[in-house]
Amino acid sequence: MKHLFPVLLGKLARFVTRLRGGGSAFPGYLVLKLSPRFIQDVANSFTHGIVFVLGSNGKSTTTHMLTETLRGHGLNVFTNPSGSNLPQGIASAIVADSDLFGRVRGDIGVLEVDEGYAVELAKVLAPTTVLVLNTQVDQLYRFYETERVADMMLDAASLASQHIVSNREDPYLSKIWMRYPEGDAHTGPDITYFGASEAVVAASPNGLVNAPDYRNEGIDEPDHVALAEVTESGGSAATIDVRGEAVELVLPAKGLHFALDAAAALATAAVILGDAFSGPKSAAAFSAMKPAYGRGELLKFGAEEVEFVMFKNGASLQLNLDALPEPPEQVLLSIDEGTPDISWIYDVSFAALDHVDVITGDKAWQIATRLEHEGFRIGAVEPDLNAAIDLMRALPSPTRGHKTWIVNYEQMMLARKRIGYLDMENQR
Amino acid sequence: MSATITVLQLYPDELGVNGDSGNASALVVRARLAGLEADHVTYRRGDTLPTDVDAVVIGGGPVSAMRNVHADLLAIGPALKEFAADGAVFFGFGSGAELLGHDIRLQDGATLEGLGILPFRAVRTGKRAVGYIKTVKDGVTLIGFEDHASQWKLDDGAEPLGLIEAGQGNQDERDHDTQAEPRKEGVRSGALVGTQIGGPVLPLNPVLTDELLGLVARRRGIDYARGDAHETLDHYAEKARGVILDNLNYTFHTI
Repeated sequence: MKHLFPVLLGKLARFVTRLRGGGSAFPGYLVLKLSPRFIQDVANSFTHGIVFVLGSNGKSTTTHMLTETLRGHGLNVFTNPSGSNLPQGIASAIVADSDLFGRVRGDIGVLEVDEGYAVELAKVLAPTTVLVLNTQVDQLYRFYETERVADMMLDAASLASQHIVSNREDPYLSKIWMRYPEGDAHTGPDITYFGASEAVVAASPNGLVNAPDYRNEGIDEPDHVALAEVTESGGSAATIDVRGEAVELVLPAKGLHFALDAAAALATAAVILGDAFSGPKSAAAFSAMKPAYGRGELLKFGAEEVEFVMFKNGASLQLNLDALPEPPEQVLLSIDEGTPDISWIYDVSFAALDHVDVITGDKAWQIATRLEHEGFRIGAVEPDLNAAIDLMRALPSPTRGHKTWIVNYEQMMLARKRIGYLDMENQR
Repeated sequence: MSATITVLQLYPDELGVNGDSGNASALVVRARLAGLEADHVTYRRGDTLPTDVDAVVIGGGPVSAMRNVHADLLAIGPALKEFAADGAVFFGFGSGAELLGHDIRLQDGATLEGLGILPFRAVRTGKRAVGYIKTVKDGVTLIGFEDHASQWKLDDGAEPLGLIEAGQGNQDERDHDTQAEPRKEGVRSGALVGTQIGGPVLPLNPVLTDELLGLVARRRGIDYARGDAHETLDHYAEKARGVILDNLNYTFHTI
């Protein structure tokens, strides 16, 4: 009863903000102001508790994969829409799904959480399971040093009451064991690893692009067994070995990083479900999955199609470039002020492209400067996205496949809208 | 004229997370566009240092990375000091520049010894400076992105690289007594440059790159001149700087 009035107001606020078009974190903000214990009470009502998904890259994708895998096993899953990973956004998602008394029907909550808020939120929501995906050089203008981000994730993971799921191939996150010198079974949550076989990692031109851990260089890393291990990866096909069972998956987007996200999701599902985990049920859930919003989506562009490749930072740009099966025929590349410091663009290898047709966004001239240093073939530099899209439209139809637009998050949202896809990410 | 210009980048893995290879390639690419031969050579821990070096480039990285290269850097220190004494160009950015200075006082109270090639000492503070930056000095405008939590105390008589027109710079607060005086950024002593302007700064600011290449060429007894071949590169850089100038006051959220 105690949340009735705040939730009512929150729902009203949600109705109004949606009338104005688009999602909003405001309803959640409002409810948290009036009823600070609101999300905590909802979290406590889930029988399987709450799972946090943290990482520099792949949070939305993995949250989606884990949610659909658990649903495929018959669980009723509450989740936050991708991108709504700050406290207000999570509260907004709960307001949207709750009845007037603030109750949400669900067996388990799977939440992607921003690294910067993970510890704070873990103290409120008391997650049963924390999945940590990767530590990559990301948003240095915000985090300053990458090891700070690693510590935020390791600190949050240590707050899991039952399970920690970590990336064996990530130099920072694999060292979660160091926090439990006497063995996890006696001192805290159990630790499970996911990973990829040596051969799979070696086949990737630039590896996994996880940040090196310089502070623990002298540490002898024990051999961790991965509960879920990528043993084959090519395009959108992947084979993941889960407890000795080979699970063949169709991924929602191409690339080894998506295969690792899938391994993370399966390892977490297996830990939560125990003996009830089923490879075939998981594979079925994956084949029904749509690409996460803007990540590998194939959208109509007049009579043609556009493949959206979205990246957030140098690491995800590199992994997405490395996942291209061949140099795309027609390429648009775009970064705007949503990614303020792009000095990392000099650390990315563009060997997967043989030219760029149009460079756009506020950062277009900076990108052009970088590519020109390598003698890259550049068709046009047009900072205005709409004008750039018109230039792409004016190109002849691609003879093979589709046009490829490589864009940061904000440009992906704008470009999608521009070509007629009006749904906002938070409305899905 | 046959001499090859060697640009040596130190510790590209540990001290290279800010696109620092871009600073080395700006020197190499512009030299080549002027018809000169130039090589981008990297040095990693334990490698053998080349003997004939024209320019040394070192970049940024976290404190843990500085600690990891520290012993190796001190070991090659005498050779690097000889390069400097011999007139080679040194271009240091961020943490790498600080290791070329006298020492670095870290936040935990520890001090990391530097090589003393650049005339300053660095103090790490808890106060971050993040955002676009513009400096002007001796008619040279530099534009880029700063992201650091350092103050640089220059030796008596040492010159900064630039005077701040926008952004915060890294001048030691004790050295800044009047509001009328512009704040300072970086350090410059002949062919030796240290800065916390990122972007990276050399590809974005060909005026500085060309000046350093002029010094490199003169030392080799050859000519470096910007020409038509540089046109596209300079056009892109000019436009990129223009966009940054338009966004100088953009506010960056940090945590």
